[in-house]
Amino acid sequence: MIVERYYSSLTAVIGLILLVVLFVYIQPMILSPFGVTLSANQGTALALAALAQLIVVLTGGVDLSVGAIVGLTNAIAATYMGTHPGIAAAVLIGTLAAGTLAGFVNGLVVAYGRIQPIIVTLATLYIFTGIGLVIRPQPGGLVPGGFADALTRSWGYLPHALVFLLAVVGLAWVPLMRSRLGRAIQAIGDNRNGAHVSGISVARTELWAYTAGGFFAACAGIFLTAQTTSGDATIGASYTLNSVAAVVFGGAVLGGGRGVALGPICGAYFLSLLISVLFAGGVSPFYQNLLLGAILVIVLAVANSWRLRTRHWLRVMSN
Amino acid sequence: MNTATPARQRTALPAWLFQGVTVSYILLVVLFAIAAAINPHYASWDNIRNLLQIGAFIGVIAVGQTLVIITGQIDLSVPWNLTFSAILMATLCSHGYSTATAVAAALASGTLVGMFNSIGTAIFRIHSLVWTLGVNALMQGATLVYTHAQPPRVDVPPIVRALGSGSLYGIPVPLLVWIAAGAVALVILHKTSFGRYLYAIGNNESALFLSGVDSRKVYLGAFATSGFCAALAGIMLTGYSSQTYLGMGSDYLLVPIAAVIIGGTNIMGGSGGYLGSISGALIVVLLQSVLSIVQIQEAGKDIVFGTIIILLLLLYGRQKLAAR
Repeated sequence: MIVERYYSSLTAVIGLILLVVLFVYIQPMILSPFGVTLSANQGTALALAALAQLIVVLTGGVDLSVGAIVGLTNAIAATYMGTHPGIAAAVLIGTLAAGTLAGFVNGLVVAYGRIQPIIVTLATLYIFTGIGLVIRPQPGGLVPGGFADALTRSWGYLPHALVFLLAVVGLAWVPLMRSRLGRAIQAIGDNRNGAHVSGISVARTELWAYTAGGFFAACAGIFLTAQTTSGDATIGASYTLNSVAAVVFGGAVLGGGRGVALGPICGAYFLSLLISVLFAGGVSPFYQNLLLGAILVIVLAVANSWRLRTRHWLRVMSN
Repeated sequence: MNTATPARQRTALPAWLFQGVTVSYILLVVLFAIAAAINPHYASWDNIRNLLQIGAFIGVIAVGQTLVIITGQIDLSVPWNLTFSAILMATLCSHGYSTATAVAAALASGTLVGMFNSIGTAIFRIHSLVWTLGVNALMQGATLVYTHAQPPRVDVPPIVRALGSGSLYGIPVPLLVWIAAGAVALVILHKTSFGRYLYAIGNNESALFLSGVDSRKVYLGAFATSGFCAALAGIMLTGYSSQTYLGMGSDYLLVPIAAVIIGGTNIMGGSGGYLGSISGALIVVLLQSVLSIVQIQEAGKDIVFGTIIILLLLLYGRQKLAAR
């Protein structure tokens, strides 16, 4: 039963394992504590962004503003943190609140404004990036060394980044998805009318799903702040596409209802490690963008290639 | 779910008054009146000319985007498809190819990218939102590799320059291109079977398929048109700014989509049309120009623009409650 539940994640898990094996084969050095930490750090922000995307995708929507929230929270954290530990902690909480608020705004417009999520989040993508740019017109800022170390160092082979990710998953994601709200999120994604008839408030569920998405995106922004030790409102631009790709590669269905956290997280690490593997394989950084784009497109096509074998074309159409 | 018209049977006003197209034209007139009241310069022919010229770039892209959105899909690959086509044309010109060859190659490249979009969407059945975003990233990479991150500095051929900024009998050439493209779009949508198929896909693809139409070919046509329009807009923009640069497409992702949606086309597909997209494009251009006159900085402009789009959608882009 547990296998069945995680079956959709299989592609991403196997893909990630194969990639790691390949990485170790090309560059055995990554099996050092340093190498493991570096690799873990690279994918954690995207993994958190993928969670943000997943919770919205589960409702049947999509959040194109994930990258913008990541950039906005990154800009806020790096601009206001300063060096005083107390203030830094307060700013971190404020940053989480800001990201959550951004998600709340998305949810409010989608759920109660009854406008399509694609167009809403495309518009808020511009709004949030704009606010981030007002806060931090140029990349920079000051991030306390202690904070950066706390999230990016490691205990031997155990990177703090993974602990942070597991903490977010264990303390926020799992309790959320096991609660009534989590059940309702999956229910409305699977069958809106059915959920409505069963007494679930579709609008309220959507609102909280987007809000939670904002929270997870803020976590990604905070981790990114520690990782880059600077703030850049536009740093999140690539996270929108990559988070959607990680979610789809991780076996969640755009259109809602199906998906578990394992797949998208593995998908996120897969996409992030890919760059390192390409570098290690001796590919010029010049081709990085092209190759990433190509691989992304190929991965999407392969993940969907079962459609080609379908004998009944109609079944593919009416999801 | 696919009807854009809210049910208003209880009011005495006729139903067509509440259609997206009508509302968007009323909005356009109101906005223009407000702008002209604040600054009389707005009503001058010079300014209107200028607005129409800039609106043409958005309007041309919106032709393809309208077709794609009516099928219930979306084309997010416009920015880098546009940039790549424009840079391809400029590079070919700098290598001594004739202008006609260069322009044809750019249009072909744009169309091919559009066809590639439809492969993922129609055959692999990947949501176009994800697939075209991926293709956009692919084209970004391709552009950077192709140009070595340095767009060619060449003299833009006079014909291309005319296409972007020339004028014929006092009418800007881009406007003429827009009128031509818009006329083609209206004919395609309302007078051809292909146009009917576009609406049919948006409403019920299975039904269309069962009627014996290969819906994959319809997607192919819609996305290829969108790619072609992006390339055409790229060529016009090159002529308008007399250069190519890496960021030239970045303003053309949200804006044409906003124009289509403001014009009353349902983002889920199945209803709407190009007539609305025209007023949508003009509304968007008007808003942009008002914002730049108020002299808000670039970031502030994005905030205000995004907010206005949401407000407009709240005004008349809402879905029916009963549908959920």
